Amino acid sequence: MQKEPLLEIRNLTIHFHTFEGRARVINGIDLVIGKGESVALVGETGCGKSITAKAILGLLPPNAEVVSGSILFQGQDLLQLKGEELRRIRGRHIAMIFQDPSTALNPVFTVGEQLMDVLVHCDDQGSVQRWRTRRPVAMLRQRCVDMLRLVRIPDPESMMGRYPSELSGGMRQRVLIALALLQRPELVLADELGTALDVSIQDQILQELKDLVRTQGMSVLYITHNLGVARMVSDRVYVMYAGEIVEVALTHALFRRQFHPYSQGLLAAVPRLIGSIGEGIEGRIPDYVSPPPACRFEPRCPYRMPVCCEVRPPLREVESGRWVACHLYPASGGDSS
Amino acid sequence: MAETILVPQEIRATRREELRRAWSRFRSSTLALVGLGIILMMAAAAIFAPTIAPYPQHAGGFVDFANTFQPPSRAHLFGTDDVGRDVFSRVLFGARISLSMGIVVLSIALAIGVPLGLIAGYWSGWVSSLIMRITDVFLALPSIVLALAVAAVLKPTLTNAMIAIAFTWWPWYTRLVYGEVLSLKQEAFVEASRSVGAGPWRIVFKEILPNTWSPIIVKLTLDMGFVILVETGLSFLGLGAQPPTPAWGTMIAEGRIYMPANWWLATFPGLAIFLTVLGFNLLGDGLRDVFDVQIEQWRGGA
Repeated sequence: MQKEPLLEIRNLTIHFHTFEGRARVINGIDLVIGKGESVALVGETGCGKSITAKAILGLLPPNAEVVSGSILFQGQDLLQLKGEELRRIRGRHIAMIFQDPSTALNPVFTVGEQLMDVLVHCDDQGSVQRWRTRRPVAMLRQRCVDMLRLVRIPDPESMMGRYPSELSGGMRQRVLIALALLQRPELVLADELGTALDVSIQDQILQELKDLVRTQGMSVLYITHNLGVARMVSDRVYVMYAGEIVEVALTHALFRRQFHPYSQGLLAAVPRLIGSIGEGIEGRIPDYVSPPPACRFEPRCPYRMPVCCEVRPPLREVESGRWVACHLYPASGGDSS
Repeated sequence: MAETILVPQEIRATRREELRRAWSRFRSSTLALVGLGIILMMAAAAIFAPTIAPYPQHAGGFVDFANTFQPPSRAHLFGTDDVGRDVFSRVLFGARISLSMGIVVLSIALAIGVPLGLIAGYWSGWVSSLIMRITDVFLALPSIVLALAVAAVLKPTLTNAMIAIAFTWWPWYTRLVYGEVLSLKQEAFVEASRSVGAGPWRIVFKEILPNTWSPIIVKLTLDMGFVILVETGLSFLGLGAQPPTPAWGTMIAEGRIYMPANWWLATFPGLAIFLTVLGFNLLGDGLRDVFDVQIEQWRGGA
């Protein structure tokens, strides 16, 4: 099932320098996204999902330090790239769709100007061009209009002349998607896409994006705290807890059965229309400055064993395509619980 | 922004629509309209001074001892001065000096202050600290005192007065822009443009700068009045324009000794100063209301 990898995160560890001390926010995570694959990174707020996405684009805040690891994109380590090289990757090869459509557009420019800006300054190699050698404007403009049409914006021609403040939240989100897809990146990072919108619009936009990336052959990393979203859009799910990947599985397999106690709790916490409200998980995400020494989920885990606070459980393949970091499961394909 | 030329009709239509709306908000304030009226009148006086002035030759070192100290009359609306020059004509020419002075000083202040503010605000580090501490030193002294000191060191000419005032004025713009950039650089659209590959200079000048124009324009308008006030102050003290240049400050200084009997020598240039400063203040207040509404609408809009 594993396709040719497009992005490979290996043993990524990121620490933040804070007043309280060194916060170990990302603790050696591995993540692979295949070509044309949609992957969801799921976890509760504060578990390090967005930091992972920002690390991929090199947009970490200044107090963050990448302690170890690599992020291979088409065989190139993004963490080794500097300034200009990294800028060529951004937008052109990896693009990000921002979560808050009301602030991610510059309020003083029209939609058309913001879209055109992206194209006018970049050639197909992604490098900044000189004034004289730019391509015909009408052609670029047509590309923008086509892209707006692709994200199902009605009357894209007139949309080009509108300011962000004139648009509804759903329309702005569509414009942001158009902006991200404009340069046909191989990988799209969608950070909490549609969280700021109401549920019906969110569903609609997610469905459209899913179809769109499929037809364009793009890979997507969905970052979400919403399991419903992950189920709807992704092929594979990475469950993240406190800066570590605790379970990886094909989406349908994960929703059929969860191995890691955290995944189980996460699913039980989803409110349902019928029956009682889910139980949730006791406790909170641990303090990153002094996290539990071994398994980070141990203090909240209903199945904790003595070994849990001594040895960090490695991510092991417990059945075909499913990887779990928990002492409950032995390394072989078997199942001991 | 440079791409606006490429942008076709409908975008220009939106721009026009925006302007029309802004104008209708501006129009709702009577005082702002009065201010605009005064400024337009002063601008017209400055531009057309040679044609409007009944005695354009009186602007310079003309003398006519047969006509000294004539009180205001039909022939001389504002009377004549100690060497027989028409005060009305000289006040009209004075508008040229004051307005061009304001424009030049503020252009210099803008050219120095805004880039420094952008740099200090966007990048943090010793360069930023250095810029802001120098700015603080300048702001600690009242600008008129600093301008006096600079003007006194240089030769007293109009150009040197401009230099002196501009020298004291740029820190205000650095401070203003610095504050704006600090909050704007946290906005999601800045990170969004970084994520599509924009470099830092591009972000600073093409994403952030256009968002700071509203407060800058408001401040410029209000400052026009203050700069004119400082300039007339310098001229009055003999550190700016020298006689026979018809600068308002110089005219008051010259006419002051003939008070109160020949009151028109100093009163009319004084009124001109008063009107101009008032006009710019009213206009600036009006513009601030227009921009504030826009900002509130945007922030409040879901």
